[in-house]
Amino acid sequence: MPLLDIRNLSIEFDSPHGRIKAVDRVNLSINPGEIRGLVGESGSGKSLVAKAIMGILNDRWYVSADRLRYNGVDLLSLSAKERRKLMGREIAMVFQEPSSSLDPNDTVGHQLHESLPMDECDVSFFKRRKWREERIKAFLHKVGIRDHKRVMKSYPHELSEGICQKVMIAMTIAYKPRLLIADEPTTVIEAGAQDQIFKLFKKLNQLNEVSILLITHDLEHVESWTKTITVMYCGQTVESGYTKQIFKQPYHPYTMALLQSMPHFNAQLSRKSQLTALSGSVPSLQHLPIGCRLGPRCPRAQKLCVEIPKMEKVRGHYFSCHFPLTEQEGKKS
Amino acid sequence: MNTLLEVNNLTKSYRIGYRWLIPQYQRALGPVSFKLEEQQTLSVVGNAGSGKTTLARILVGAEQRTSGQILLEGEQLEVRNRQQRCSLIRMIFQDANTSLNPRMRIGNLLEEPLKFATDMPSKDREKEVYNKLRQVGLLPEHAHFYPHMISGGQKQRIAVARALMLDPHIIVADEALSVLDMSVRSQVINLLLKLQNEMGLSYIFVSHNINVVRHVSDQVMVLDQGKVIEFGDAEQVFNHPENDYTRKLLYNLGH
Repeated sequence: MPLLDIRNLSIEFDSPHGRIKAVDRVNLSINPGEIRGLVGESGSGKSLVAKAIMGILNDRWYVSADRLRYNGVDLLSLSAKERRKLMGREIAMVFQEPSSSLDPNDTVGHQLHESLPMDECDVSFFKRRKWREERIKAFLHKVGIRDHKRVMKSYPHELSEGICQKVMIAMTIAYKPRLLIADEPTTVIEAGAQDQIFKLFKKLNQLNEVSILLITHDLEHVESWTKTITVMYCGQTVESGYTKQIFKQPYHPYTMALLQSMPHFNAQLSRKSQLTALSGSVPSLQHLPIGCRLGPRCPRAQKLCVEIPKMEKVRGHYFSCHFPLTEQEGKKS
Repeated sequence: MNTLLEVNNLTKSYRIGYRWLIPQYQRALGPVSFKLEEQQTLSVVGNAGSGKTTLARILVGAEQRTSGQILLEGEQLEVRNRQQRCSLIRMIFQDANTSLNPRMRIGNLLEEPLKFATDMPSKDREKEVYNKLRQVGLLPEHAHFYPHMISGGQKQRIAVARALMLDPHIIVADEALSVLDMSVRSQVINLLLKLQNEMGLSYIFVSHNINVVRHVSDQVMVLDQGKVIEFGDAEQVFNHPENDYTRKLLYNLGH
């Protein structure tokens, strides 16, 4: 049974032009111990999906779904109090821009103190301080911070983004969550530290069997770190399946375009030649096209594309397109 | 091929404080020497704090060098003469969202360098703005828009157009592609490559995305803590990296 099972999740909000579907019937499932990548450009609603899973969207957003189950429990029917219990303990989230999600007024050590699960503490009142310090030290070492003394004493602005991100991860794993949602964990981090963060996720996944939903805007990042990917465009699921399969043979023109925009994916491409690119840009939420939202930018679009295509399945590989790429076309590039 | 830009022993030091009333300096960059030819692209790669942004800023004149020589078409660039270089070397900034003034129309934004650096009459300036907008694949109507009315990819095109306004010979792009979405990024790469072919521009790319660097550049310079670690033909460096640091950098970035 999948750990997280989402079927037809829609997220809407009211605007002066009527109700707008920012996320339109997205399907997603994560098995225990799996790392799934969720890839999409900015404004494709991937962060919204993450927040909907956590239950931290505010009242302006209307979340509806045929199924939104975590470990067999329907999240949408839970009360706010019950949901809060899951939040942080079972499902944890690492936010974008770690240095701005940490409290700038407080030392990192103090913030780590606050985030420890005190119900696990079984020592007497007088030994608690020591116990906490030991735990924090252990967590910091676990995420690969060696000089824990300096880090605990410093304020978030004194540390680099990479270290801040590691501190955030240390906070989330203190409760030993079963599902970790990482929302663009590496976008603001320099290249060298990115690799460390991904390695850390991989280690958590293997040692503690944490399932991870890795949200990113860049396909390059997920290629070597994830087992399965879901690609989103403008709030619609475009394609999902095993990473290897998708990289070898994409069915959807959008995935194909993303892959082709990575120069190293295309080996025959000579240096300084023109890359294949989709024309136009991502539409804004106020001017979404009807039907398949890739429609106006898609090189294969036809009259039929004004209807939303159904999800199709080929060997465990889902895609939604009326005119998918055939096997030869997909392989040729 | 004639040499467009020649840099000899360029260094930059920052004063970090005093010790016994003697100023102490820390070298942030250099010594760096390279030559850039017409229609060539030089890429500067390195980790954060390696001095790649400092190099870019010195070249466009946003920062003063400590020592060294910059020769543009055989002519010395003086340390303080900004007028001289700001028309021949232009820069594209990292984030188009924040580098365009939100209170100005795009037409006025693009007109500004012409106002400051030339004495063109306003009719000609307008014509020039329209020309440049067409060149980067936008319409003359876009001149009446405000920056928030267009998309991220188009904003980056405006940033390119602004860099092109004074017909420069060299464009310095400081991480100009890393904030763009994937499908838009290849559009901008295509645009830059097209402009290079048409106008014979030279680029200096500062980037950490190795895959893009590999595609666009002729020469690559690898910096670490301000020192040049490896410099040479792009294919040579990428296929046979000689230095451990370069190898690590390549490996880190998904190879």
